[in-house]
Amino acid sequence: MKLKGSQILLKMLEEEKVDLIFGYPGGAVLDIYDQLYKSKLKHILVRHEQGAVHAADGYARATGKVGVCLVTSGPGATNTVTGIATANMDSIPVVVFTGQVPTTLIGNDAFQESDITGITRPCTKHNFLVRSVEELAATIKKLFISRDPEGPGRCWSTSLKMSWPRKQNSIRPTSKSEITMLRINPFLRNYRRFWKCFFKRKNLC
Amino acid sequence: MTGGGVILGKASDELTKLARKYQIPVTGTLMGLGSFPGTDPLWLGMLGMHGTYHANMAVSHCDLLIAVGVRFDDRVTGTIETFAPNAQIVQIDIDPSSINRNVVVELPIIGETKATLKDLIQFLAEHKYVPAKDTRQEWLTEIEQWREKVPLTYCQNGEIIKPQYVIEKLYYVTNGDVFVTTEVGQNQMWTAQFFKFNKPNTFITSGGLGTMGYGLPAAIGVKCAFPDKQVVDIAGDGSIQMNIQELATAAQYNIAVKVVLLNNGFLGMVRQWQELFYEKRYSHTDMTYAPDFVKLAEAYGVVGMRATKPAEVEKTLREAFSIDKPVLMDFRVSREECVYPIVRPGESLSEMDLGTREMIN
Repeated sequence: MKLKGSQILLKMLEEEKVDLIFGYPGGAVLDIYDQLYKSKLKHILVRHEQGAVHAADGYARATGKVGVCLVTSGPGATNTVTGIATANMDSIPVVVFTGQVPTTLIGNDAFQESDITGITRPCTKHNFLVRSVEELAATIKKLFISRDPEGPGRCWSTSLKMSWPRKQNSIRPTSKSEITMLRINPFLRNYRRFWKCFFKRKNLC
Repeated sequence: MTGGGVILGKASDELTKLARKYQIPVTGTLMGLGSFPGTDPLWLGMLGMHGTYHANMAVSHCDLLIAVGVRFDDRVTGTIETFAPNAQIVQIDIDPSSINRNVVVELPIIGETKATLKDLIQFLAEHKYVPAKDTRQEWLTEIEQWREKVPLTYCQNGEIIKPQYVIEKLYYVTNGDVFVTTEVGQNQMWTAQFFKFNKPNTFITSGGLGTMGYGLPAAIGVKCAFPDKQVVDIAGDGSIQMNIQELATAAQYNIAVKVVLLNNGFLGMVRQWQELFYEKRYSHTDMTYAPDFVKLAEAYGVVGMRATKPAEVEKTLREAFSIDKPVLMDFRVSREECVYPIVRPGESLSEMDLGTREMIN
């Protein structure tokens, strides 16, 4: 059976024994929230994304487990930054899932787009931009793998961040070079595309 | 000296065992509170900028400092050059990049705090180490004299509530069996000074970044994890307004957190610095224009209470804890109370400003 990205996410959370997440829905994560509606995973709806990260952080500090939150792209993602920096500074394990605009639109100043992996790079232990559904399960595994619940002292590794494209299947690299570009920087790829269109329109090539 | 690494590394038992067995006095950073029982006679309280007099003096005069899971933040050390000037420092930390980063140490040990302390205890036992009794007793007596000379105190007289009094009453009413989160500022420092944390993971505060607005959502997170435990957010009127919208979350799911609001109508810590370092020029720190917090709580569907006199404090707390709903308690406290002792920025730990004598006596 083929699973959608949103189904994979919830399955992975279940596998990691996450029983509670804090979050705030939005356009880019609607698919996930739709799965959440059908799922048994407990979700606490906060009133501001900063609150979601702090709540996950408090949960982590009190239990020693990982705190998990889920927010949308753009402003939802940027609203988590203070929470992430707070957890990171005190070495608290928090995982934040944010939405991201469709892969094809990354770098286009699309609606509710922000370069959240770039913004949070200095205040996270790791952060990931997941660009294809195939990478998803392995990436989520990585988020939790650095922590061993039995091994004390492991939990000093901290807040992680992952971005999430809405339509994972929309990636269709056309050439080998484009795959490389895509790995280096999604923004570069789109600039390339932009110039291609530009030159085409101007009949320059 | 114990830090957040002892709590994250679940090494409190080992640390407590080591300290008790060899009669080693223990002080802690803000992040380390709870890693050693706050009611133990060996506990000196927090050190650093708002640390106790005897903790700072002990660190400044000791000849051996064992630092476990700490990173020597600037709020802990005061001037680096004069931090623990007489001491050989042993630093135990899991993170190699924390070694020698702020304070140069004589003996770094890289490892998990729990495993390392276990090994240390075993090593000392195998070598039948016995501390020199006389000198150890002399040292403990010296610390006790410092403690008696400048105890951590405040003066609750008159009809105005002192914020420290509320925190002491909170400890008394809950018997310490409670999770405490704080916001950032005076409320946080008074909690660190006057609440005795006996268990790890029970004090939840934004140490490194100092994020105002942290306490209420964090309390909600803790209460979700431990629905049968009491969870209190000790807040100020400045901080609480940064994430007060989360009262709606608490109301929606009936997450019965209790908010102890120490309302002084000021951005208290900043005001204190303006008083001490800027000749009382209170530039934009007066927060008198604020909502009626009781009505606001009620508007959110949360129980609101108010106490304006010292006699009402205990009653209000007891009532709040008897209700299985989120409660916000608005304590109108003394407006210009300062957190003492304070080590002024750029000064040594041994040069504390202790406040006025009247406050101390």
